[in-house]
Amino acid sequence: MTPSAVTVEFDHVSKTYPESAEPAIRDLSLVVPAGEVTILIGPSGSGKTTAMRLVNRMIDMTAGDIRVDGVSVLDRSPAQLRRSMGYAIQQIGLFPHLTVADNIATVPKLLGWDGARIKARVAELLELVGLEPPMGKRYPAQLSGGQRQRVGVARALAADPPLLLMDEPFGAIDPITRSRLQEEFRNLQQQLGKTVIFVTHDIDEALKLGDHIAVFKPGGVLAQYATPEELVRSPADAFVEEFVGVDRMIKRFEWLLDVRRQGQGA
Amino acid sequence: MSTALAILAQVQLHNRESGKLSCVQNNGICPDWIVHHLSDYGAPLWRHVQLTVASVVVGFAIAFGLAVVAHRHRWLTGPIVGVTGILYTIPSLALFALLIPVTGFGLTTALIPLIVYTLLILFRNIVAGLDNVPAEARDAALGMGLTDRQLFWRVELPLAMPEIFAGLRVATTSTVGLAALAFYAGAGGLGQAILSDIAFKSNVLVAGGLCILLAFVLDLGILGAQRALLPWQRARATA
Repeated sequence: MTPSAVTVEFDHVSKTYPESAEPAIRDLSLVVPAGEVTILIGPSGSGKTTAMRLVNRMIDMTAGDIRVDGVSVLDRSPAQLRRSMGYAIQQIGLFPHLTVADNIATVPKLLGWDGARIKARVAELLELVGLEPPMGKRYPAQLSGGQRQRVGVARALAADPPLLLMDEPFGAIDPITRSRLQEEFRNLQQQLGKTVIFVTHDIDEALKLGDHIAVFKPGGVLAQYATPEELVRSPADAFVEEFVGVDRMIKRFEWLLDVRRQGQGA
Repeated sequence: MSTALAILAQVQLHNRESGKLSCVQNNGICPDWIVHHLSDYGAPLWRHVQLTVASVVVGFAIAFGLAVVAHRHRWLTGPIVGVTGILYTIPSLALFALLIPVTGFGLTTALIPLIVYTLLILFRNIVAGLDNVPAEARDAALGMGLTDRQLFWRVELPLAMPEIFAGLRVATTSTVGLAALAFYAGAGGLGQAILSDIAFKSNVLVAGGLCILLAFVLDLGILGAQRALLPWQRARATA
């Protein structure tokens, strides 16, 4: 019986790419609590995506260890390890040659589930992410952007993994749909209670969805690891303060301009 | 035997339409003659089909093997394209002439050049197809725990199929044309039928026409297979 959520511990993890002198991740230690959404955020080049990809060994760390439910990721084969975690990325990466149902069934098939069980699970997941059953027969090219994102999330959840890795899963999508998907994701997470490691560069998304937020500085240094409230109320340093503040100010300003433009148009 | 019958037919025809030269004597395009002699073209046509299909099948097997290796070791792509490209430029007649002392007069000598000429087209298309697989599909596949082998057979190869089919179509059509020269190597085919009475228009028309028809039918067959095997492609086109 697999647990419904697991703890992920980063233990003095470093990563230096072979072609680079500077590390992408520098001595990272943090504990991702079971059943919570932990956001990794930072500007580009801060190592947030690298940190996530170390967990399922899409990238191997240079030093330190990562333990999932107490077991080092290095003790398991990459393929076995990855099948035990959900994986969703910004570009989604749906397989264009497979139907929605077959896309969702990818990991269950790898795990050798029987046909009837897979079929039932696919139907359950389509409903869970708010897609009509006939959608299962369609190909990715026949879906809207928002529908594809939902299929991406359903596919990540397919084998009911205790841990989800999500790299800007709502990134390449219009703001209205993104906002709706974020809401749905929050509701879904309240039902499912998975451990989620969620990478984003959008501080509003982080504050909206995160139980904990890890802010990374350029050079792969963890600047602060805190709850959203702590982050806003007492930023650890000037970098965090500026990152949380400036980004939010720009967003608000753009929003205001939008509202004004629409007002003039009406 | 058939020539004797043909002459007899001509004589009869001539007798019936006394005063006028027969169509065959006129070297015209003679529907009657064509209808009566069509069955004579069965054997050359069948040989032409064998030459084409065998060349493309063997050529595909070799090109596929090379493409799999080049997919793993990228630096090999350039040299393989170079070598198959040089082979492609060798005139077929020269290659037949070079091979006859080694492999003798017959099918083998005809097949080797025909196979060699398919390699460039097929290899390039297979490699292009594999290279065009979207990076995010590959990343998602690995991230969900597909092994390298599963990635290749379940994701990369299926997504490369449109380009592979395109290559097969070009290779097949061009092989039908090139196989018309296989008679130089002593392998028969429709080229032999054309040459056997190259001055007679009806003969050239039928033998040449069958070549074109064969190319067309094979092309249509491959296209049909592609439609049937890759339903997702049409989904993309209508989306």
